[in-house]
Amino acid sequence: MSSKQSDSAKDRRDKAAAARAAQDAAEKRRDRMIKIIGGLAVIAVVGAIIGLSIWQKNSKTPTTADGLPVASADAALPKGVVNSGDYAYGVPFGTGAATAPKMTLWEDFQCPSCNSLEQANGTTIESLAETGKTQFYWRPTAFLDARLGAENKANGAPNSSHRAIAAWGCAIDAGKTREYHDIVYKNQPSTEGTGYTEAQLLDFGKQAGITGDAYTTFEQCVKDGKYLGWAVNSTKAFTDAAVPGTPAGFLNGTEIKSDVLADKAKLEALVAAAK
Amino acid sequence: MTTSSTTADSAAVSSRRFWGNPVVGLIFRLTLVGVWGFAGVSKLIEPGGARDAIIAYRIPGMTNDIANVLGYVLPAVEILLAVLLLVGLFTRLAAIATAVLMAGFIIGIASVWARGYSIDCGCFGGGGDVSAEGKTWRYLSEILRDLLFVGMATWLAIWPRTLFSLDRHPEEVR
Repeated sequence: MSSKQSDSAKDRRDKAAAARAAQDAAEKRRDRMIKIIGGLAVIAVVGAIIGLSIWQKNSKTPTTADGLPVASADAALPKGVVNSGDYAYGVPFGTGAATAPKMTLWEDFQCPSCNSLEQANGTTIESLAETGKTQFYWRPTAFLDARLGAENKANGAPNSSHRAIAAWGCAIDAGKTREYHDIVYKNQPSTEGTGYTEAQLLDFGKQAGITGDAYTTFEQCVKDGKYLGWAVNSTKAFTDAAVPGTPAGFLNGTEIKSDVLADKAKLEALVAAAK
Repeated sequence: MTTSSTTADSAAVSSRRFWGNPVVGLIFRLTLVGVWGFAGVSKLIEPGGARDAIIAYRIPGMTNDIANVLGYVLPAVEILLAVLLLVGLFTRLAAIATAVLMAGFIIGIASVWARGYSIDCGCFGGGGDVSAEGKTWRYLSEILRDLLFVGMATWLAIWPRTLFSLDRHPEEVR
């Protein structure tokens, strides 16, 4: 009995150790199971959340392609616009020689901060081009149509940015490049997303001074959406170049800081220094 | 009998102790769940994901293609971290990833600030250029906020054992 007891003391210790080892092993197995099953469940949940978010977004946002031509190198271009090179689809403006610093300005006709820039310093930007201090290109983009699609449609002015660019193209043909550009901004709706109706875009042409036969041509051009393809191409160029929003000004390929772009003295100094 | 009383004692001690406290850890975990969940979903529901916000940082060499991919990968990673932290699985790993990602955001914000741009960080959707008004305070508060999150993540990386988590820590359970 007594020897058995001493035996059983060792026995108990062994048994306890074995039990603990078994418990540890069980614990480890459970841990591994939790990690595997939990990991798979986490991946499934993440996939579901991502799928749902994208689905919900796609069902909410009308596509830009809605009623727009696809990007094509064959699209008609307004007078003076070319479809290749660094300034493809840009609108050349002013009298700058090829040796003058090259300035470009990306704008969307529906973008409120582009309008702020136009009102604050548009005259300086244009006169630098007109006096030949810069070789200037306006670079139109309609990237906002993808965001303002629902609002535009609700106001009977779908794809307003694309259509405003296309109408501007018609005005460029009529020789009213600057006038039409400035009038669109002057009439930019105070609420972003209201957009521009066809009647407005036609009226801007009258305000820009397009008359007689030229107006008939302009009107037909706007109604046909002749330059919508150009607007699509220029927007694609904007996206492909990863331009960080609008307005974005570049001088000889370097981005102009927004405070410089909006300030007459600073911009003139920058351009003068670039010579 | 004696074993169970020491376990109870050490449990009492550990619940009173502040550093590594499982309740504090739980609060940090859930805070980061909210941050990542909100950040990830709000980026995903934007058209094009976070592409535009990423481009606004003007990272040298950034192209449209890279930004397009990152625009979806980034929110996906954020949501993954949110779910991992929510259930408390791979907590240490998720916490380290959180700290690293947040440190990256801090560097990004500091860098656009130093280069003189005025952007919306796009942390929770949005993004792009904004008016320079209140720029200093905006950037500073974003950096301080992210530093706070780095602190929480570091805590969880050091003491990943928190209340209500799937992670098991056999050495502590024993």
